[in-house]
Amino acid sequence: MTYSAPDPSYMPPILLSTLSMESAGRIPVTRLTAPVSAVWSATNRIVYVPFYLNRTVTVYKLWWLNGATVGTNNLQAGVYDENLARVIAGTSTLSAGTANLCQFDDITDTVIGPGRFYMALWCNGTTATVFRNTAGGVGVYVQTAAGGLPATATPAAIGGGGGAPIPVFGLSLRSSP
Amino acid sequence: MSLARPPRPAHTLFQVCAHDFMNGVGAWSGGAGTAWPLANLALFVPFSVSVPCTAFEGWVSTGATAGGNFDIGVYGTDGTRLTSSGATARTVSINQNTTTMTDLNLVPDRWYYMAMAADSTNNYIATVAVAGLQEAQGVCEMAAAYVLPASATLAKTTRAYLPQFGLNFRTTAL
Repeated sequence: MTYSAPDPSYMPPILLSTLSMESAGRIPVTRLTAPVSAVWSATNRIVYVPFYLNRTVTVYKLWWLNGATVGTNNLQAGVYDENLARVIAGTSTLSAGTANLCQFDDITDTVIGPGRFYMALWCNGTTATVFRNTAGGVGVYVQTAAGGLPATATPAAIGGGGGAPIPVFGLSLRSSP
Repeated sequence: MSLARPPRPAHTLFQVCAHDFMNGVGAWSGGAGTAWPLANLALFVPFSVSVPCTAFEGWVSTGATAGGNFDIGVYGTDGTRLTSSGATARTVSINQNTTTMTDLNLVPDRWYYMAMAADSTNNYIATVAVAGLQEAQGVCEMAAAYVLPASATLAKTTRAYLPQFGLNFRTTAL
């Protein structure tokens, strides 16, 4: 997948996510279709979504947007560099909190960028729900891993073409709220 | 596969809108006249600019039924108010410009929040995407914040509501 980088003078979004133009927001199916609450697509599946940073940033938190059902599965978010090495690992956490709101993982503040990365989200079951697009996105990859996010990613294309459904998750570049 | 770059908010235009910075959230269903969710609530939408420009005034698309007042302003990420219009009487069913905001020079390479507060639950043109999708774009809120305070304590929003409002970059708004 090739794409034009965002204007270098633009700040990335304060909550950079799979909806952002720095990431899958560039893909028509993402921009034109409202994400909906849906169960995770496969047990122990990791979804890798590419994103680009035009500058150095500090990542304060990782987050995902829970759907209508919480409290039944664990999720873990992370970030990989373009060599597929994990550079940020969140904590495997039971989905919790108010349905249809974001859940935040307060990681050790980490400086990354500029460059190309993958944000990754793993879930250990298919009963918890997250907001996601129902259709897949080209350039989005998957991996099955029982223990959560591996130190080195081995992403693969999902079968059938079109890419994996894209969950709504991302990075918080602000320390609060 | 080469992906065309979606349009970024163009600060050579004369206005920006909160929805420009929402990555499409709210655009799937369009806006309609909807009651402000809570009297004296303020909403804060993060944004940045790619070139130096000046915000001269704010604007909002008001809905039907007379009454109410609003306040539009700009904040830094530390919650410090940088400018605001102060109390502005709402006119029904127009794209209403404020007239009393102190000009604010905006610069690249930093985040700001554009803010709006209303003193009642009158209608404004708004989109009503799921609250979590608003939250996922960094939208914040503060209760009991009309008029916009000099120092705001921001909390992640829980509202399924985003008004159609923004800033004017033209010295004389049309």
